[in-house]
Amino acid sequence: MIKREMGTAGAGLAWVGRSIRRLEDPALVTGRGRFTADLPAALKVGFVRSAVAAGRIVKIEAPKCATVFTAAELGAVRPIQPLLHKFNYVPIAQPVLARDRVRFMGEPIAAVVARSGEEAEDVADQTYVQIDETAHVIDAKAALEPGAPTVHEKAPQNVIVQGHVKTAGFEAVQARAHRRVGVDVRSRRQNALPLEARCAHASFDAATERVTLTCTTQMPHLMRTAIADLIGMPEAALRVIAPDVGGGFGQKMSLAPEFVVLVWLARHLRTSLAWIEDRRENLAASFHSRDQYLRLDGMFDENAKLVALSADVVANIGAYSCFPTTCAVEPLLAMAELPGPYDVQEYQCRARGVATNTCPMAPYRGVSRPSITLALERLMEQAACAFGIDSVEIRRRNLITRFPYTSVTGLVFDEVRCRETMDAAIEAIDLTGFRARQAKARAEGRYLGIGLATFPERTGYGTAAFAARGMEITPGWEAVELEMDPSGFVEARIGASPHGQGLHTTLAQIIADQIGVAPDRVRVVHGDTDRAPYGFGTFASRSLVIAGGATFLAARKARAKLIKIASHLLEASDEDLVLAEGAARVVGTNRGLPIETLARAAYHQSHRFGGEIGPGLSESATYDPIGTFANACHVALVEVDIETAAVNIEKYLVVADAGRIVNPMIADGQISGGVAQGIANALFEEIIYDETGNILTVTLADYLVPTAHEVPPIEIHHLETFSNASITGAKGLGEGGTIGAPAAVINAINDALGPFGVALNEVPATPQRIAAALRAAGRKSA
Amino acid sequence: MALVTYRVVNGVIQEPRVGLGGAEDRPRRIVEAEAALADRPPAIESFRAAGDAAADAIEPLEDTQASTDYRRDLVRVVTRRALERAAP
Repeated sequence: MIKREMGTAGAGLAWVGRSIRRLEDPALVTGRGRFTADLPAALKVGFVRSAVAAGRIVKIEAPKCATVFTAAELGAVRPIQPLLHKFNYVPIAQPVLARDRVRFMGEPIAAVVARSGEEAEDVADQTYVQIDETAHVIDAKAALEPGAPTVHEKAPQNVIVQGHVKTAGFEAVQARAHRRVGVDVRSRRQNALPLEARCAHASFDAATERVTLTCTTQMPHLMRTAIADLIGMPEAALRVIAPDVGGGFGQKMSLAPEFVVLVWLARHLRTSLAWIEDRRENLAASFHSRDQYLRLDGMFDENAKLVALSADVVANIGAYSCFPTTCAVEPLLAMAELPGPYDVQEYQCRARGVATNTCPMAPYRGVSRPSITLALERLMEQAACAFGIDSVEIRRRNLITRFPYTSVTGLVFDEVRCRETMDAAIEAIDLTGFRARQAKARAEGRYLGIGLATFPERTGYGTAAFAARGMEITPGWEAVELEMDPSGFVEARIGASPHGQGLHTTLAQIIADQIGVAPDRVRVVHGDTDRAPYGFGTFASRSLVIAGGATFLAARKARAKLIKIASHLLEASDEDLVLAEGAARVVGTNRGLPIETLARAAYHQSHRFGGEIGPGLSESATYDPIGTFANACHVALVEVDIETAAVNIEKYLVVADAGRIVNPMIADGQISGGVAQGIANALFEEIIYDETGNILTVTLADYLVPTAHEVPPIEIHHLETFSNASITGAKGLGEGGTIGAPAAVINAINDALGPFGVALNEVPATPQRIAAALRAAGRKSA
Repeated sequence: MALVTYRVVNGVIQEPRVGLGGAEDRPRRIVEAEAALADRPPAIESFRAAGDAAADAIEPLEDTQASTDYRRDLVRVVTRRALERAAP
């Protein structure tokens, strides 16, 4: 359901605002998608991986006649060593195959080349690696203890990155605050779990001496740069293709060391090779995320207004630092965005990224926002309890309502209408009716609960935002090359790299409105470094804002040129011409020409334009916005079975404000998928290591993923506050579903269990954790 | 997780059978729970006693999803609930 607040998105526009069917779907739903694993390869690659958490490699013995490559052969390949120029960052390095030390279970040690995947796996199993085990550390807090084992010599205390902020007035305001409320939140480790695991296919072309790497990536150009740098080859000798990609969620924006090995092998063996990651490898050794401890203390005045916020963030970064974001992405994002949607003038935060002998962390949909939102929203609930006011009231007293608002960490909120999305959500959910139902159920021994989450979602941020983080690479802009061919069809070549977001369709809608052709006349080309302009790919809720903005600018230029051509051919002035429904028309007359006639003339009859306009119809544009914020309010209604501790989500509601909604169906799909992953975070998914550093959750029988049965129907409403910070008015919403759900669900569980005095601040809230919390609160078992 | 059958003859439980799965390393009958039911009326007190007996009788599996304590509690609940659902 779309609620249009700021005028009608469709006014004067034909295609933007409509739920047209996704142009990418016919191929995907009829089995004609083309994925990396579909490509034939002469040889298959498997990896020998570390079976222990930490140790020194003594020797590697491959079976006779096997083709196995180790760090010794790849000696000239540089290690992955992403850079950050701030926050005491220690530039730790990861060799693409372990050199003499291994630092996590699953770390690649050797590459096996064989005729089949099965043979490669067998040889990998038969390859003997002798490792002298050394002391290891798995938990981030344990890694901070004095005397803890050191993961990298460069960082003896295991702190790889450390941010610290404190406002000048913090101490004074803290000292005179009326009430202090504290909350300790624990977010357990997750895997983004794309349906398609990571795969790479590297093919050497003897004629050109080039390698084509087809792989599961969200950022093909940056992969080309990074891999060429590490191997020491010109970028021109490497083509990277992201074909259809089965989900990424951040896991596929980070450089896989295995990809570098594949390119090196293709050059070395002058052949084609493929590596197809299995689920076990993906769960154990791709990238993880969200393993954090957060301690918040809120200082409130007598009116329950938050006057100062103190935060301590400990983020487990795993054994290495991911490229390109670096391992600072989780702790530093938490530090910058922790005050969330609340007006607070005094703030202190220490955020540390701590190395451990575990799989490296990488961004995962929402990055730290699911956990910081959980922490803040738990803080607000506990404060509401302490003040004896309700969940809505405490938020009304604290949400930012004056815009533009510069946050205490320097973020500029253009218009983040959390108050409005919350009010709309409360109305839609019928809070009063629910409270009556809840009271009645409690009298019958049933425990219902409601949970709110309000949050801003930073979207479409440009180079300045990344530079502020001290990043060596500032992936904030996008480029689009738009070309109309002589038959009037449009090709848009983009640097973004969609993999499920529906960007073909939404960009086609934007172009269609500018050029006056139907979206099915627009083809979007992406994910091929030989065909698409350099860009940064798809991540961070950026593509519709940034690639969409660049597309809009390029299409506007193409429109101007088409109008100019029409003015010549129709002998009319520019102002009297409109482009719509496949034709240029002179307003108020019946004179017009089909767009294909204009296109044909642009190429074949350029002599007619008297030199005023050049031949052809191609335009390009780049866009580097300042960044904006979407926002949403999520509400979960749950029932907790206090005997089994099972949680049933009865209803889930989202009211989102992501600016202009280009395609409501696609927006709802993004939100729904995100909420499902957020529910996974709240209740189910957890990567578990045992005390020896062995990972216990390497199958989907152990790492529990919610199915359609566990994910409730999701009701979605949109407000549309068009942002001036985005040239299309669209704000982006790729991550919001994932950000809000843990807080909403955990708040609902706590509300349901209120009568028992339970305080549960840990995700996932599995039945055994809820049962333990009930026991701790003194409830006797059945 | 729990499968139960019983007859009610002259107001008391006869031939009770209680089977549990997912609690130990293999599914099995829990004779202690059956003993707690035999010749008792099909009432909540009997069902609770059987649930308690089942919980006491098992040696629960432990894995990442369910600790020994949690599994034991769950056995107590599901045994009682199954008996309640089967009640005439």
